[in-house]
Amino acid sequence: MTRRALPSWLLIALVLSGLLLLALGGYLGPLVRVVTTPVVRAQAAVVRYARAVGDYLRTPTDVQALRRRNQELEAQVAELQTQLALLQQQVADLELYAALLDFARAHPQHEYKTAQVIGRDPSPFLHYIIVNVGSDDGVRPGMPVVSAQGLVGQVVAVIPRAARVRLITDPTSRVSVRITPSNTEALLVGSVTGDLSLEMVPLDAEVNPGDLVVTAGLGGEYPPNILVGQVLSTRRLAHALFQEVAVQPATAFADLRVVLVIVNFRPVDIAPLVPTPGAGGP
Amino acid sequence: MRVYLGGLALLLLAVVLQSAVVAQWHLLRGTVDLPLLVWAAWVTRERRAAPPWFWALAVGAFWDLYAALPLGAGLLIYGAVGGVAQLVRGRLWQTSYLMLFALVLVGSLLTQSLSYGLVRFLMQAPIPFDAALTQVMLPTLLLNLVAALPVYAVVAEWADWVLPADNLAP
Repeated sequence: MTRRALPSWLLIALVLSGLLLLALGGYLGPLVRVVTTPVVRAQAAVVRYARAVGDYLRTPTDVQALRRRNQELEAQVAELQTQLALLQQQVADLELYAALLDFARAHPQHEYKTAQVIGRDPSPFLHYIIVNVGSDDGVRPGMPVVSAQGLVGQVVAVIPRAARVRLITDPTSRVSVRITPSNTEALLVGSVTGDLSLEMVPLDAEVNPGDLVVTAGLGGEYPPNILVGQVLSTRRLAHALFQEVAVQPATAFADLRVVLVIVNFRPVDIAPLVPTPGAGGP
Repeated sequence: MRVYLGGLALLLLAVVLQSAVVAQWHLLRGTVDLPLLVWAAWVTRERRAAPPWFWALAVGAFWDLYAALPLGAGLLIYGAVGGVAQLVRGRLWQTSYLMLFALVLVGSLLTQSLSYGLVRFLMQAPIPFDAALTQVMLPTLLLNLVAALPVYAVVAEWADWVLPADNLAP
């Protein structure tokens, strides 16, 4: 009696079905792990080495491209930094001119000529600046010079395209001023260190730190009511005839870049009115 | 001709830089006297074309254009410095650095003293001598001595480029 063998496809199908059922049932997990783990590790190693080789082969072109790109970016950064510096400079200039405009609007009785500071006196004993406007621009000796903060000085010499300005901090500078709110008149003097002080302030005058100092207009050299600074400190000495008063200037003289020349002010020379010894009187 | 043009251009540039830039940098109230330093370096380096007083008078003339002191004060101040340099020329001339520092030291003292005298007595500026000494003269002297060598290095480069070989100091 012969037995008919099962067809091979049926046998394979049964085995596969069995395996599938075992897998679905979770019975093949350990076996799968054992088989696949080395395979996955081997594949990862192969990929890693393949990529390393690929990177090595591509490196020369990448470096060149990166260098080129780096140069482009560096050039771009330099250009942007230049633009940024220029824009910052323009913003600073704009703020400066806006402040000067505010000053001009606050004092509409004067006519102004804007001037840039282009130099300083080479001697450290003197406090003078050189500005880039001169007689061609209508500037004359004696004209007052102001900044957005307050009084700067006076034009003392002029050439066609430049002028020399004596700052109020110069040791030879004398400005007739008034202290508010007490309305005390005094003489503002400079010094070699650039410090400002007031002379001829009576001992009984009520002067306190923080009081404002403005031009008095006496003497005909400066128009009245231009801010000069603030009283910094006062000192009364028993044996002295006058108070010692230090003044903080309103203008930052170390940072002077742009100033205004008051071109419609003509100083008055009162020298002929000053009595001289030996002159005959009535 | 090239020596004179090169020297005069250098000295004029020094005075321009002094007015435009250096005068703003202070130690107390003293500043570097760049025209003096450039002159000292130049006459230390250049020894054939013209005597020290010639270059000193050139500095003084340029200085007069910028300074508020009466006209001619620069010629007087730097001319005096040039005269002193002429006197010591034969004694210290062989040693460049000794000559440089001697010129800077004597030149600083002389220019500051003469400037103070002119400002104090000619312009009637009431500057106390102690304030002038401590706030201006000594700081200026210190700054000049510190800046002498760097300025000399720059001027020497310029001199090497401008001057013929036989005009250069060894």
